[in-house]
Amino acid sequence: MRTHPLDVTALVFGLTFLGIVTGWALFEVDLIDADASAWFLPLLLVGTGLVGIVAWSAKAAVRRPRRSPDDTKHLHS
Amino acid sequence: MVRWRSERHDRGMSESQQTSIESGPVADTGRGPRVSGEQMRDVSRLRRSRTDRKIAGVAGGLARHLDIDPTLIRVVLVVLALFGGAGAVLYGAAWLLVPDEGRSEGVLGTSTETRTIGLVIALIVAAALLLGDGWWFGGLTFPWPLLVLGLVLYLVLRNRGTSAAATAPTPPTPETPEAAPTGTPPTDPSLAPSASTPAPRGPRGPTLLGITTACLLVVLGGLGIYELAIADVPIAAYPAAALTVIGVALLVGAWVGRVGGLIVLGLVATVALVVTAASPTLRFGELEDRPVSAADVEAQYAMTAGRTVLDLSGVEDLEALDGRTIELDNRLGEIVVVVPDGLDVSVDAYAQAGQLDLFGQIRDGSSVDHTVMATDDTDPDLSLDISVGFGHVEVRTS
Repeated sequence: MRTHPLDVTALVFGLTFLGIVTGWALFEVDLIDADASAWFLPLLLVGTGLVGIVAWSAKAAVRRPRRSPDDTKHLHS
Repeated sequence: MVRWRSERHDRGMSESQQTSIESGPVADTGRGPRVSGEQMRDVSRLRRSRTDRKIAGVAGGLARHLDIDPTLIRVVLVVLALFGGAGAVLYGAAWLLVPDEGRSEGVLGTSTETRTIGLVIALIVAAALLLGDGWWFGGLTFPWPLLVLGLVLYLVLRNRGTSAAATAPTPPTPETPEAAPTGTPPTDPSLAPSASTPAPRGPRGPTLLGITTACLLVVLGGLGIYELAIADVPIAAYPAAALTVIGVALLVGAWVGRVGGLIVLGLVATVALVVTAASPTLRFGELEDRPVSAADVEAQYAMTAGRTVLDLSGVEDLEALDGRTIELDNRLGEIVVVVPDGLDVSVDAYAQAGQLDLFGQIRDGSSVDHTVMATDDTDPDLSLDISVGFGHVEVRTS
């Protein structure tokens, strides 16, 4: 399958949405109580935010060395 | 510098130019179709749209003023209306104060200065409503409206960024249509479609919105069939299932295809999940129960929006209620409990926002909590556990 460079926003939102569903499911089957679920959301946001920062940094680090003159020419064509 | 966006925007912009001619000295700037920051900050230029209106053209006009998609404005307004009514306040104020296209006075016929002051006041009121209002997620009061708003704003800015970036790297040359507006009006029909051919923006590949929507239909329909044929599912399972599909699609889209629209869809599903997760059932209207025996008294009375009345004055065997707890929950509306003499009731009531009236002891505001303990030792004891989202709780003696 053809892939493209990582779309960090899609990654972060995808993880956040799945995390919210997981939190709801855990709450629904009484694996976590109200107090624990209060912790769940902020921790989830910090987690997915960190994933986003790491992914974005990694992407930037990978992209930079590749920018040879040939590549920029390709970008503008 | 002239930048072209989508065809839809081009049409929008040419309308905007026409309006500018009617309403302000903007058309002669020769800056091309984009709205500048200076024009955006000039609130007196804001007009309600006549061509793009659902109610009073507020969202259409605001979208053109800010040079963004009117759908986003509408989503923001609806979200804000759900959270404490801030969106309704903003919309109403804009309706009354902002003139229609081609006119200089709004419904209230104020001067430009008064109009601006009125809009600022409406913004402050809306912000106050928003900040005073949390949303309930498993006992957590979290500033959901701010989170949702932040995300929507981020998406708006991101879309503006990518569409600008998509056109920016191609410098206008005499061969490309983008250089043409120097000599050709932007409304030239032969030119507009080619000029507005969408440039590749962001990740390439097939868009995932269609296939995800198809998956959503299958999953939601399947859940409905499961509920009919096999077992009940909590109402929140529907938005949860939708959110799962959208989340997976976004993860796939992080590497393959384009995710346009999916994030907004996910935010809508998140709001739906949060609202329904706090409500044990989806039930609207009026729920009135006047039990005549303790056995008829339910353990739980749950309501999504409406009015719940529980009148215990007809219960003949009050002693059978001793030690029991009744849970009453209503997300939006009123709960009334009538308690007979000879029953010793302790009440634990909570309102996200609203009023609690427990035997004449009144508390109101947001996140109100009030407890009335049982006092008498000889009568049978009953506990009431009452929770409303937005509304009114009344517990009184018969």
